[in-house]
Amino acid sequence: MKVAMVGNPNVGKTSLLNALTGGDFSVGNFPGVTVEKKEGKGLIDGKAVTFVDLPGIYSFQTESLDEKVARDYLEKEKPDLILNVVNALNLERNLYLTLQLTRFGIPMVIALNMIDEAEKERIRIDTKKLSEIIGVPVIKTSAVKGVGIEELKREILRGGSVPKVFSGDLQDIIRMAEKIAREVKVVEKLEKPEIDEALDEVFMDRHLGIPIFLSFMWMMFMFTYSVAQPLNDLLSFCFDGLASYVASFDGWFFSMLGDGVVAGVGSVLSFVPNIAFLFLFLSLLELSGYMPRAVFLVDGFMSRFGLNGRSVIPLIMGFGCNVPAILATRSIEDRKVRIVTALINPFMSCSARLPIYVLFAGIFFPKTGSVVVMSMYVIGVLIALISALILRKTLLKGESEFIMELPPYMLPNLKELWLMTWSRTKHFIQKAGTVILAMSVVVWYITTYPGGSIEESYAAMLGKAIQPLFSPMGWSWELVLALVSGFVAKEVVVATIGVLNIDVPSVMTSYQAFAYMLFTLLYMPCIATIAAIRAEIGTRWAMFAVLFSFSVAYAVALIATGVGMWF
Amino acid sequence: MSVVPLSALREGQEGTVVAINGGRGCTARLMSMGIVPGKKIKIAGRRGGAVLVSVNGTKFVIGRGLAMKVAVDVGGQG
Amino acid sequence: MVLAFVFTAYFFLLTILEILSALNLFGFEGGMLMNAFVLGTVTATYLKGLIVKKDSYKFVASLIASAFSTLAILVYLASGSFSYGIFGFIAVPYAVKELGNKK
Repeated sequence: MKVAMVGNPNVGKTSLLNALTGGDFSVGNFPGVTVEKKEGKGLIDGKAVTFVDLPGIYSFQTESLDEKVARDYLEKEKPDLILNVVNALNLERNLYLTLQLTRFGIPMVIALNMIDEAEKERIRIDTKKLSEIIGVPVIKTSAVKGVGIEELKREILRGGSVPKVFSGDLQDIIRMAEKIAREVKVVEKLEKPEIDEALDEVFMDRHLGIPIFLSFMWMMFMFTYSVAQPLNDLLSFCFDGLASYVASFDGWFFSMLGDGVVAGVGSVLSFVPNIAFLFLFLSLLELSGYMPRAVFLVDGFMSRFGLNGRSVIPLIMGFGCNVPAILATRSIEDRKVRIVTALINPFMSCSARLPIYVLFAGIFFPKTGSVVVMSMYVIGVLIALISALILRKTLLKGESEFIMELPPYMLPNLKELWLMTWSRTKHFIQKAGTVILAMSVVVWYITTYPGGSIEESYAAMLGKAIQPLFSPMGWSWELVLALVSGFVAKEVVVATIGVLNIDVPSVMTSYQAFAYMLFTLLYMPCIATIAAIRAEIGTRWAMFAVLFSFSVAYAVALIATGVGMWF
Repeated sequence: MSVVPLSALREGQEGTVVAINGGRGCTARLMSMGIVPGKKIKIAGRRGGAVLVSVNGTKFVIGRGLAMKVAVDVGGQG
Repeated sequence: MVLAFVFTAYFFLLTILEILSALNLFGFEGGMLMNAFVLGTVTATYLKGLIVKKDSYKFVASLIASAFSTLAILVYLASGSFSYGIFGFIAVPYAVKELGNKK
C-alpha cells in the first residue's frame, strides 16, 4: 500500500511520519534539482505501508518545483491513499490545499495535526462536520504528543474514502475554504502566545536584531569548531595511525590502501564531528523557528548583491568549511540564488587555508602579520559578493521573489533533532565519501609513481609542466607543485612545502608571497568542496566553479604581482 | 481611498489588499498563502529589503520584488 | 527593574573583562573579541529593556546569556580555552522561570 503525505510546510509531516512508523523507517533520498521527496517504509499492524513524504506546498497553482514534484507524483504514480496533513492552528489556509487535492480523485484521510497547540490557543474544530463536508475521515492528531496516532493508523489501513470534488479557480477555492473554516471552527480567544511576541520583538529589534544574529553565528562557530575539536583530533589520530600501519606492509597494494585510501578518505572523515555538530546547531535554529527571522534581518544587505536573506547562513558557515556550507544552500528555494550562493562559497576563506596564510605572513610580514591574514578574509568576502553580483547580472539573471511564513517558535524535540542531523550527516558521508575514495587513489598514484617519492613523481612533472603558466608571477615549480597538491585539501599546501624542503624566502619576494596567498585563497576549491558542489547543483556547475575560481585567482594574483612590482 | 504598493507602506501601517499585479505564478503563490484581495494586511516591520507583514494572525516575510506587486488600499492616510 | 539593572551592570563588567583579556591588557589574557561581542550584545539587550521598560528584552537577553554560558563551559571542557561568558550562568534561573511562566 502506498500512502502519499501532502501538506503545507510547517505542519509537522515529518514528525507524523516518524510517529506512524515508530521512526523506524529507511529514508531514501531522491535528489531532484532543489527538492526531494522522501520515502519511508513502515509496518502498521503487520501490514507493510510505504509512505511518500512529498515536499511541503501551499497549492497546485504555481510553477514551483516542489509543486511540480508533488503534482507529478499524484498524477503519474497514483498512490492508494493521500494522507493530507492539516495544521489545526491555521485551518482555513490549509484547507485551500485540501480542496485542491480533491480533484485527483484519490481516496484521502485528513490528519488534523498540532491539535494540542490549537487547543492551547482555544481553537475548537468540529471534525465530524468537516468530515461530512469533504467526505473523508478526519482525525485529530498531535505527532509530538502521540495523540490520535492509533486511530490514524486504523483509518489508513481502512483506506480512506474518495472526497467530494471541489472545483473552480484559486479564488473560488479560497472562498469555499473560508466558508468551510467558518462553519467548523470556533475560536474562543484569539491571542498570540505571549512568548512568541516577546521573542519576535527582541529578535527582530531595529538595533539589536543583527548583533543577536551575529552572536548566534559566533556560537555556532564555537560549537562546530571548538566543542567538536577533541572528537576531530581523535579521529584523525586514529586514521593517521591506521594509514601508517597499513602502509608499513610491503607492496604497492598496501601503500595504495594506506597512503591513498585510508589517508585520503580518513582526512575527510575526520571532519565528520565538525559537520555533525554544525548540522545539529543548524537543525536547532531551523526547528526552533529562528531561521526565517534571521532571513528577514539580513535581506536588505544581501539583496544589494543579487542574493537574498537565505544566502547568509551558508556564506558564514563557509569560514569554517565550505563543504557543509554548500550543503546548507539546500534551504534556499530560489534555484538561481541557490546556485550563486554555492558557487561563491569557496571564496569564503575556510579554516584549512589559515595555515598557509600563517606560514607566509610569518616569513614575509612579521610585523603586520595579523593584518595581512585578516585582509585575506576581507578580500575573500569582497570577491564573493562582487562575483555574486556579476553572476546574477549575467549567467543567472532573474528576479528573486520570495515569501516565507514565520512559523511559531517551538522547542524542538530530541528525536526530530537527531533524525534531521543524522540524515544530513549521512548524506555528506555518502556523497563526499565515494568521490573522495576515487580521488585519493588518483592522487596517491600521481604523487608516488614513477619515482617512489614526490620529487620524482608524475605530480612533480605536472608541476614543472604547468610552471610556465605561472611564470608571470615568478613562482618556482616547487611552489606550483604545492598548489597542485592543495587541490586535495588546502592544508596540504603547507605539508608539501615542508616535504619539498623549500627555502621560501630565497625563492620569492614579499609581494610575490602576497600574490601566492591570494591565489591559494581563491583558486579552485578542494576535492571535497567540488564533490559537494557537484552533489548539490550538478556536474556542469561544478566544472564551472573550478574554471571560474581559477580564472579569478589567476587574474587577482597577476594584478597583485603587477602592482607589487611598482613598489 | 488611495492604492499603493505594499512595499511603500510604513512600519505599523495597515491596509486592505486590493489586487495582485503579477504573473499567474506569483499571484497564485501569494493567494495560496492567504494574501487575497479583501484581506487586511499590516506591516509589522521593514529593514530596507524585505517587509514583514501580518495577515490573518500569521506573519510572513515578503521580498521587495514581490511586495511591489501587491496593491494595497490604505484609506485616507496614504 | 532592579533585576534588569543588576543584570545590565553584571554583563557590562563581564564584557569589559573579556575585552581586556582579549587584548592582553593589565595582565588579563585568553579572551576573544567575538566573545566580548556576544557579552556586549547581551548587555545592550538588557539595557534596552531597561530603557523601554519591557520585560521581553530581559527575558531574551537571559536566554542568550544562558545559551552562551552553556557553550562557553563546553568549549572550556573540550579545548581548555576560557571565556568570561561562563559566568553568564547566573541568568539561567530567570530564563527557566520565565520560560515556564509563558508556556
